[in-house]
Amino acid sequence: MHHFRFLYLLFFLPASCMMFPSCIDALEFSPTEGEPLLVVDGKLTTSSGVQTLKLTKTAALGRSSNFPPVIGAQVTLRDDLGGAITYTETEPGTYQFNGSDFPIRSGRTYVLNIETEGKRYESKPETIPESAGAEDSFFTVGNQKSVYVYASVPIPENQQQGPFLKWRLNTVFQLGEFFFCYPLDPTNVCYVTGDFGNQLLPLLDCSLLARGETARPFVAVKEADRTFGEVMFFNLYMETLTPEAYKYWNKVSLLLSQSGSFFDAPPGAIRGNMANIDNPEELVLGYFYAAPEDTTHVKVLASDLLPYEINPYCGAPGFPPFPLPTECCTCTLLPNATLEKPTYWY
Amino acid sequence: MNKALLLRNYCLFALITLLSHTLSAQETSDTIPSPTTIDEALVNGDYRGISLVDLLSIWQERFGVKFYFDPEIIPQYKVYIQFKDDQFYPALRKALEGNNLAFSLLNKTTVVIAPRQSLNKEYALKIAAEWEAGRYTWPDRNLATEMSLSFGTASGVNPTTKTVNFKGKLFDEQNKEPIIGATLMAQELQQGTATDVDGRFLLSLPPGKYQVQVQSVGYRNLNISLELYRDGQSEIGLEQFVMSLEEVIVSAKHADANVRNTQIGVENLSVKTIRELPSLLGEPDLIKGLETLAGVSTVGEGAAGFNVRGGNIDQNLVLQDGAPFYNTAHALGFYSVFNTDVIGNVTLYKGAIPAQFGGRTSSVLDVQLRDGNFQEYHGSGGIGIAYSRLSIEGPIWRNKVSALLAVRGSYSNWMLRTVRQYEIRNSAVNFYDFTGKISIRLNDRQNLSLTAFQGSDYFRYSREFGYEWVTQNLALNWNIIFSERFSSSFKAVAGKYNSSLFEDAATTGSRLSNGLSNLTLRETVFFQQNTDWQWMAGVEATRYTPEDETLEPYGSTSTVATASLPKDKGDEWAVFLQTEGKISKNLAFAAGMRYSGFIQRGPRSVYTYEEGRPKEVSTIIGVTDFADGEIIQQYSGWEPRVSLKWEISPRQSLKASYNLIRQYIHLISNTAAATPIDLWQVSGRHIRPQLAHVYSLGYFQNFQKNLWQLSLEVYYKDLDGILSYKEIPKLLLNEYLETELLSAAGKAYGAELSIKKTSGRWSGQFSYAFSRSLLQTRDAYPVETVNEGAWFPSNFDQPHQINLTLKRQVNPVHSFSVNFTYRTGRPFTTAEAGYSVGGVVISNYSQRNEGRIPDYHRLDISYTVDKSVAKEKGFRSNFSFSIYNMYARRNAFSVFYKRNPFNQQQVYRLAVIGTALPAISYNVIF
Repeated sequence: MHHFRFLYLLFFLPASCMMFPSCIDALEFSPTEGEPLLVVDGKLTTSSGVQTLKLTKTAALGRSSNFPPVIGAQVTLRDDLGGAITYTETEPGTYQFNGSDFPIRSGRTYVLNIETEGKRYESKPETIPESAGAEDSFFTVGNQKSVYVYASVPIPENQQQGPFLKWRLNTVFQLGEFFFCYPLDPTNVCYVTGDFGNQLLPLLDCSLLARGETARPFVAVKEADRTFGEVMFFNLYMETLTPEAYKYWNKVSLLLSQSGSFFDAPPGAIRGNMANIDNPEELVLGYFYAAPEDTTHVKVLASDLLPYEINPYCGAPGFPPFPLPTECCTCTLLPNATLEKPTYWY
Repeated sequence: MNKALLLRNYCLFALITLLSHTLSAQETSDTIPSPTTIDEALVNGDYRGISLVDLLSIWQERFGVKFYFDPEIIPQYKVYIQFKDDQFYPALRKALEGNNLAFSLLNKTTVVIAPRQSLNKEYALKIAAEWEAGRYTWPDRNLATEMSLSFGTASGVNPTTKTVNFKGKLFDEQNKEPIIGATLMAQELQQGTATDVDGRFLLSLPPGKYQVQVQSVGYRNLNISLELYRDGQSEIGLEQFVMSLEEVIVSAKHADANVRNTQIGVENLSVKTIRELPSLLGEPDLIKGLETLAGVSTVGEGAAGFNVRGGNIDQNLVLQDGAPFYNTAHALGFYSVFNTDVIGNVTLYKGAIPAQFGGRTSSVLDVQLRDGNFQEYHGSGGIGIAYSRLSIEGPIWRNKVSALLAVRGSYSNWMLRTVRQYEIRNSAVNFYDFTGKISIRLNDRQNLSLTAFQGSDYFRYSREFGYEWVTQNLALNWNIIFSERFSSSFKAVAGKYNSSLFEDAATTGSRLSNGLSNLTLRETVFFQQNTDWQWMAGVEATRYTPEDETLEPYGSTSTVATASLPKDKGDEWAVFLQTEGKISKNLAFAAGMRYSGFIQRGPRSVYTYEEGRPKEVSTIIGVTDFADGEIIQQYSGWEPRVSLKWEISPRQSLKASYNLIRQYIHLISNTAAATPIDLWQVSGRHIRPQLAHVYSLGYFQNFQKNLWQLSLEVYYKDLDGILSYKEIPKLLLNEYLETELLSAAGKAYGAELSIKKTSGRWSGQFSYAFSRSLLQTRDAYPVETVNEGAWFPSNFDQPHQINLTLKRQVNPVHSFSVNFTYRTGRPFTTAEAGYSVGGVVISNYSQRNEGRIPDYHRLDISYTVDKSVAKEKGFRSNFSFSIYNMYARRNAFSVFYKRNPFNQQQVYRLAVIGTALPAISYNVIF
């Protein structure tokens, strides 16, 4: 009989204890706050729209946004042909110029100069690479109603290195007014934009991929929730980076993916490509980069998710949630909602 | 802590405690009769050649009777007897009568034993009163046996004769194997010697009478009354200490070796001690055992390797029968590659490192496997919740050739399947290893052994990524005795370590592989000038052949192209001379000189960087291609080693040492704990060898016949060429690796206090270590310095460490152990502020290793029921129940920053083991 007890001990107890795996919990911690540092957040695109640069300062941890702006800075962009344009401060800390006034072209090299608080800063030269050219993106439905989104990128035969790619993503879902709303306006259909938060920073260095093939990297996953109840679009903005810009964003990506595990690289300050001309030791954060951008869209219908059934945002027909959310009758109440149908919508 | 979880953990503890007691009761009810049935109890077993006290102790446990006797008299007796279904009292009578002893019953279960002529009621009551009052206790059962030897007479001594030689051989009485490392000490002169690999000894003494004490762990001490007036020779058998069957395979260490040895900072760890420690999931582990020693630590649970006095894991030379391990981890680091069933001797050199060792700046862990049994077939095994093990040994040709084979295999995936978290449930951790040793006695003067090891690991995290790594070693050892004073040892070692990292990611799925092979040849000669002076000299050469770093597609849909980065080779060589002797009665020394060198060879493209500018790809001004085998760079230098011992008294000594050590290969690793794919890189044009000047001073004192041992050591290390890294470097498959590396100076200093009680009902060890480990980068450019060139704590800087291990031997079968560990949290890089770029909020970490994760502390307990002590042969077993992390502390492995659900940067900690872990293991010997 005691042999059975032994077996019970041998197998039951470990199984029980394994119900409590390793754990992650928040910790009270009071780090010292260092001197505020200049942060440069600038990107040039080859589009003819508005080119924007943000200058801010670092701030205490815990902020989600609204970092202190650097106002009154003198910001100039020069190209390798001797041309130059001065940014205009349109909001505190936000500096812009119109792309049509100083067209940005692939193959050209640009240098950014900033003067603020009596200090002069200059970027390393940034040459805009040729666009890698995105092909159609696609999705698959995986475990637990998750939608996995993939991009498609042709790898040029004649290019030994790269391309170096970075994606930005957002989603747009459709929300029509609910049948029982009064007064009902069935033409009121909202398009609501959402983002993935800042933990997602898909990057790809194609240098190690076979030339002439098409890479289909995974770029995002989203659990199918009520927003998938009608039509959902994933919008992928693919930026083609220089090797130096890729290296910078790769470091940012590594920092964001810290999980405290054995595999984490110790974090550190990420020095960008801006430097104080008079004091090279000053740590300047952020990056000024120039990248052509290609956009693709992935459409997901609720029926694509079958056999997983998705409850529509405002409940199943005939079974509205109670109380009915107000946005189900006035969809524009939702943040980032618009009645204007996106041009790519179909 | 979550109250519900706390409650559940304590429920678990209560459950295991309850069930353990139930099991114990069930196990013992078959063998221990109630007092009313002692007349019906039957005695079986083979008790030939054991001491009477051992026998009484076993019977006391087994039959529940109490034995009272005079502890000054009874331990002198031995028995040589077998029982088969004998009744208890007749059996007792039979055991005593051969020794002219008798017994008297105070009651049914209290027995007084005494010499027949002394025994009467008054005497029995007196003895009983002494026991009841606690004035008599069970004696130390490792008491010495006695013998006399006489060579010549005083009258026959030539007056000109200054010394005469007493030489011979020590062997195991039971299996006739030679006893290595046993000590013989002439008490009057405090002059001694130790046996060599064949059990031979030579003791040169002035003519006279001596009491020579012979000691070896695992054997009963022997006192020889020696009359030595002319040269004499004798072969002497030592009796195994029956209660210490497992001690037969532990380090052969003199009881007061800590005081007498010249070297400082040397630790011997017995396998028995390792097995008695409470362990994770019930499996004894050598590396976990080492971590209970002062100055040895780890960065966290499950981390690979160990850190000695603030050094990195690559600064430890880890040898098994002379073959190096480049990764000692199984299951990422939860277990080690060492199989405790086959280990014979474990020595950790963390201060003075003899000249025959080199190539690592922190420590040498020298693990010697034992030989297989030359007489009989035996085996042992264990069943645990994570893996099982089995070892078999025995003669292939009796007394000539023996074999020892051991295997371990894991089956831990079933535990992962019980976890609710999807990623963990779909992960996998597997490993196996094989250890084999064939020992050949070519003749009386030559031994040959061949040791083979293969270990393989597979780890997969969910369906995302994983590691595979394989270690293969083959070591040939050939020992020759040319004469009593002159011997040699030849070693040939071939080793290979391969690892790969695979990522399962559809079209971008890849497998990155690297590896390192080594071939080592080494010849050492030993010369014993006299009993006080010995010499050792040798030469060794190692060829390191790293495998190319290779990237391949992983999975059928992968479009990753195959790429490969050739790796440079290296040849390391050394000649060394070491001598050890006595300058005066109280002053002894060990001095060594090693001259080592290293040659970096192609294939490699070596880049030249612009002078006076940071090493970056953009500052490359030239490249030189070196063909396969072509010399790229050479380094060489002296490595003096000196140790001094001042013996203040036979129980007190003061020691000091200085070492200079050079290290030519480096582990390129920048993760919190080393990962299997981390790259071993040879020194070269852009990577200088590491250099360490190590100064140590220590005071050692033993009390109460070595029952208590105290040591206090202080040390200082001056380091150069330590590898540090630029911020968030790219280390794998990087042709320009040097652009990510920084060369740092280092310093480490500390003090270690250790108090040990070596035997008795309570035994254990307390140690406290204060230790600092700091680095400094001094290059001119901001991107090439860390913390603006100021000293900063290394990743392994843990200033305070406390270890307490206690063992209570309840009786010969049952024992209870407690282990408490405390250490300062290791450094980590804190974020000073946050900022936003491209819509991404990032933390800014400007000063490396400025913060510390919370302190680590843990209490473990274990309870062992060791039935194997009751008999020497046949099927024997023991159970061990343990609870790891008793009070369920969530010790942080790491602290990191991540955005919380409110979109703000928050500090989190990861605890690898966040709860109390009960475990049970079952081991057998047959």
